[in-house]
Amino acid sequence: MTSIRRYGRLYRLLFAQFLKSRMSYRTDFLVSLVFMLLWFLPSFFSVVVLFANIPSLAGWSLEELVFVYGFYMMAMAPNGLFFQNVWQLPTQIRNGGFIKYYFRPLNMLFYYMSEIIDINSLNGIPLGAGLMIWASIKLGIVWTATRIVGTLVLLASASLVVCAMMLAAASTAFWLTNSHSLLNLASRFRENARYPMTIFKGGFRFAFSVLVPIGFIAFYPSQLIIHPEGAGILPWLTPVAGLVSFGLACLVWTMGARKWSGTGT
Amino acid sequence: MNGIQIKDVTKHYRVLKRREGLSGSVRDLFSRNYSVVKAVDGISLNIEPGELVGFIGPNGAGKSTTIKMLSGVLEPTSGIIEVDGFVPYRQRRRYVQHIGIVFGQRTQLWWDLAVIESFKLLKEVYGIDDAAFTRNLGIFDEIAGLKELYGKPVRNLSLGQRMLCEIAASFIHDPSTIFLDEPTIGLDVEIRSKVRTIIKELNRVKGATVLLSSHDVGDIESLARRIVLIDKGKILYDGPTEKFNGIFGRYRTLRLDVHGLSESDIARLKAETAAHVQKNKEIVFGEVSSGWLGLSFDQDKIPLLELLTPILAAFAVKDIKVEEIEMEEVIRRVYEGALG
Amino acid sequence: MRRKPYLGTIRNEIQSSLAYRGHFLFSLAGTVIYLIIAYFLWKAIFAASTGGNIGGVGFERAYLYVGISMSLAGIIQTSVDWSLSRLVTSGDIFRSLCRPQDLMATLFAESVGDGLVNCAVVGLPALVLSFALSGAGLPDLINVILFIPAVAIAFFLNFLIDFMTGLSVFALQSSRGVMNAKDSAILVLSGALVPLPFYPPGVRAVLEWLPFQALYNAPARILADGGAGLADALPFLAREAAWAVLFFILARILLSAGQHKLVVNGG
Repeated sequence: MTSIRRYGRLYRLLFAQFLKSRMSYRTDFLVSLVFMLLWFLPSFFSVVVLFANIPSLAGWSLEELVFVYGFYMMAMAPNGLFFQNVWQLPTQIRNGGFIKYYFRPLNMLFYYMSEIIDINSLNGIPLGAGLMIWASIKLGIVWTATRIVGTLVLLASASLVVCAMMLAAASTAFWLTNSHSLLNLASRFRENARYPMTIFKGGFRFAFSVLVPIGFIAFYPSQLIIHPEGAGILPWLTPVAGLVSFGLACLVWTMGARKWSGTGT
Repeated sequence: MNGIQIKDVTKHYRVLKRREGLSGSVRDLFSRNYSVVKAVDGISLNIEPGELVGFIGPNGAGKSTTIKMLSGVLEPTSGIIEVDGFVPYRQRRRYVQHIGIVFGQRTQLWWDLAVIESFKLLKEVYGIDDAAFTRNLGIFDEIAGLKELYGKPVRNLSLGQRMLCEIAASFIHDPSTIFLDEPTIGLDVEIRSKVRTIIKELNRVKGATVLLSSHDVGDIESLARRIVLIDKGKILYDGPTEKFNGIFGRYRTLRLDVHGLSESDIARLKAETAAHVQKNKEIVFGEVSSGWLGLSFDQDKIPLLELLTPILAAFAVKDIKVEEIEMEEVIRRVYEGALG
Repeated sequence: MRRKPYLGTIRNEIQSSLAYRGHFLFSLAGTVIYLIIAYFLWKAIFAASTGGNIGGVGFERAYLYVGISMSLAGIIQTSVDWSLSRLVTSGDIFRSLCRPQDLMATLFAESVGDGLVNCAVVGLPALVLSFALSGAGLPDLINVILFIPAVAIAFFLNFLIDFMTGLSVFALQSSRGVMNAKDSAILVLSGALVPLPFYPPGVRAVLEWLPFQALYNAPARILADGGAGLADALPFLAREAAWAVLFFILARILLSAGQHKLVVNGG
C-alpha cells in the first residue's frame, strides 16, 4: 500500500531530522541511562529483598518473576519511543495548539505522535533483554526458532496493549479538563503488570488482567513462554488483546478529535 | 464550483460557567452551569477564485470561528459551506491538500528544525514534485529574501521572520485557497509591511484565493479590495475597501501621553478641547489606559493642528501618536449608522 | 515575612484544586486500586511465608505499613519538583525570583493548599480503607493525635526534597530522569513499598537512619503500632524533625546559590 510506504518514508525523514536537531543526543542518552538504572535498581532491589524472605510468590519463583520483569521492560520500550507525546495532549488541547494537527493531509494520530521521538526509551530494551536472558538460563529455557519468533510476536502484542492504555487515557483530554491525572493513573496501574496475576482471586483477576488488560503486558505472555503447557487459554489471546485494545484506543482518539473540533478552543 | 460559498452559517457553543468564590467552587463540584454562546449567528458570503478578501472585526467577533469552519476543523451548527467544491468538514484529509492556513502566533513548522527542513517535510507530506518545490522556494526568496532564513531553526527566528516563513509554507504546495488568521498580530511596523508584501505578491503570482482576517484595519486597507466586517457573529458590511475607506479612512486616533497629569487636569483637557472645536460631536474621547488618552476625530472636518495646538499650549502632554481608526470605533460608528 | 499573601495563595490553590474534580476522583481511584492490589499481593506473600510471619511482622502489620504509606503518598506528594523544573527550563524562574515574595514560601503555600484538599478527599478515605482491609481494629486515639505532627513534618520534608530536586535542573538537563529516579528511590528506601522489617538487619539499620524513612515509615509506625504511646513515637518524631531542619538549611543554601548564579550569569 502506497500510504504505508509514504508514512514509513515520512517517519524516517522525521526521525532523521530529529536526530540532526538533537546534536547532543549521545551524552543525553548516557545520562538518561544512568537515571534509568537509578530508577530500576531500587525497585529491583526490593524484589530481591522480598525473595530473601519467601521461596515463591503465588506459585512463581524469583527467576520466573525476573523474566516477567524483563519482558515488561522490553514491552514498555515502543510506547516510550513512539507515544511519548501523549503527556502533552492535555496541555495542547487546553491552549488550543492541538488545532494545527487538523491542517495537514496526514493521519492526525501519526502526525501528533511523530512530534516526540524519545530515543532514551530504547534503554529498556537491553536492560529487559538482559533480565530475560539471565532468567531463561536459570530456568533452563531453550531458545528455539519458534520460541524466539513467538516471543517477538508476544512482545509486539504487549507493546500494543501498553500504547493502547496510554493512548486511551490521554484521549480523555478531548472531553475532560484534567486528564493528566488519568494519565498518571494509567501509568501507575501499568506498573502492576510486573506482578504475577495469580495473586488475584476470582473477579479481581478478571478485572485486573482482562478488563484493564495489564495481565497481557508481561505476565500472560511470559507464562506462555515459560510454561506453555500449563498456561490455559488466556495467554494465547495476547495478540488478540493487543490488536483489540489498540483498535479501541484509536477509536477513542478519533472520536475525541472529532468531538473536540466540534467544540473548538 | 470554485471559490468559497457560505450560506446561512451559524455556530453555537455550550460554555461552562464557573461560580464565584470558595463556596461556588464547592458547588461546582456537584453540579455544572452551562450557557449558550453564539459565535457565528447567520452569515452568508461568496468569494470568487483569486480574490483577496479582508475579514475584519473586534476580538470575539467570530472571525476565527468562521475560519475554523472554512478549514474543516469545526462543523457549522447550521448552514452550508463549500470551498472549491469541497465540504470542508466532511472531507478534511482530502480537502486540506488544497488549502493553506496560517494562524497568527501559532506555528505549524517544526520548532527544532531548520526552515528548509520543515519545507522538505512539507514537500513529503503534500507530495510536491521537485520542480514545483524548487520553483516556489525561488519565488519566496525573490519576494521576501527568505533564502537567508532557510538554514535557521524555527525556534531561533524572530516573530516576524517566522511569520514570513509560515506564510510561505502555506503557499508551498500551490493550494487554491489560503486562510490567514491575524498574520500581523504582535509584529512591529517594519516587519508588518514585509508580511503584507509577501501576502499580496503571492496572491498575485499564484492566483490563490486569500481570506485574510485581522483586527488591524491597516492590514486590510493595504491588501484587500473587498472588506467583510463582522461583529457578534454577524456581517455588518460586505463591499469594496474603497467605499469603506471613504467612510472611515478619514478618521484618526490621536493618542496623548498624559502621564503625570492629574485627573482634574485630564477632565479639564477633555472639556476645553470639546468646547474649542465647533463641531464637538465629531470628537470622541476614549479612556485613559497605561497613561495614554485616546481621542478619535474626523481629520477632514478637523485638521490635526487645530486639535493639537490648544491642547499642547495648555497641558503638559509628554508625547503624541497618530494612528488609524480603531476597530472599536469603527464598530461603534457602524452601529450608529455610518454605513447608511 | 508577611503572612497575608501566603494565606491568600493557600486559599486560591484550594479553590482552583476544587475546580478540577476529575483530578480527585482519579487520585482517589488510583489509591484505592493500589490498596486493593497491595492487599492481594501481600496476602500472597504471606501465604508463601513460613508461619505467616516475616521479619517479626504478620500480614496485618505489614499491610498496614504499606497501606498507610500509600495513603500518605496521596497527601504529601507535591508536584513542586515538576513545577520548579518547568519554571527553570522555560526561563520563568527569573520572574519568580524577582518578586518580593520568597519563592520557596510561595511554592510551599501552594502545595499546602493542594495537600489539605488531598488530605480530605484522598488521604482520609484511603487510610480508612487500609485499616479495613488489614483487619486491624481502629487505631488508638493517642496514635491518631501523634500521627498529625508526623504527617506535617513528613509533608514539609518531602516538599524540601522535591524543591531541591526541582532546583537540580539547573545543573542537570534531563529533569524527567532525575524525578523518576528520585520517586522510585524514595518509595523503596523509605519502606513504603517493602516494609523495613523485611530488609536484612544491616541494611535495615542503615535505612532507618536515612531521611527517607521519615517520610513514610515513621508516620506509618506511629499510626499503626498499637499501644505505642508518646514514649515510642517521640524518637521517630525527633528524627523526622532533625532531618527537616537539616534539609531546610540545605534548601535555603541551594536556593540562594542558584539565585546568585542567575544574577551573575543573567540567564
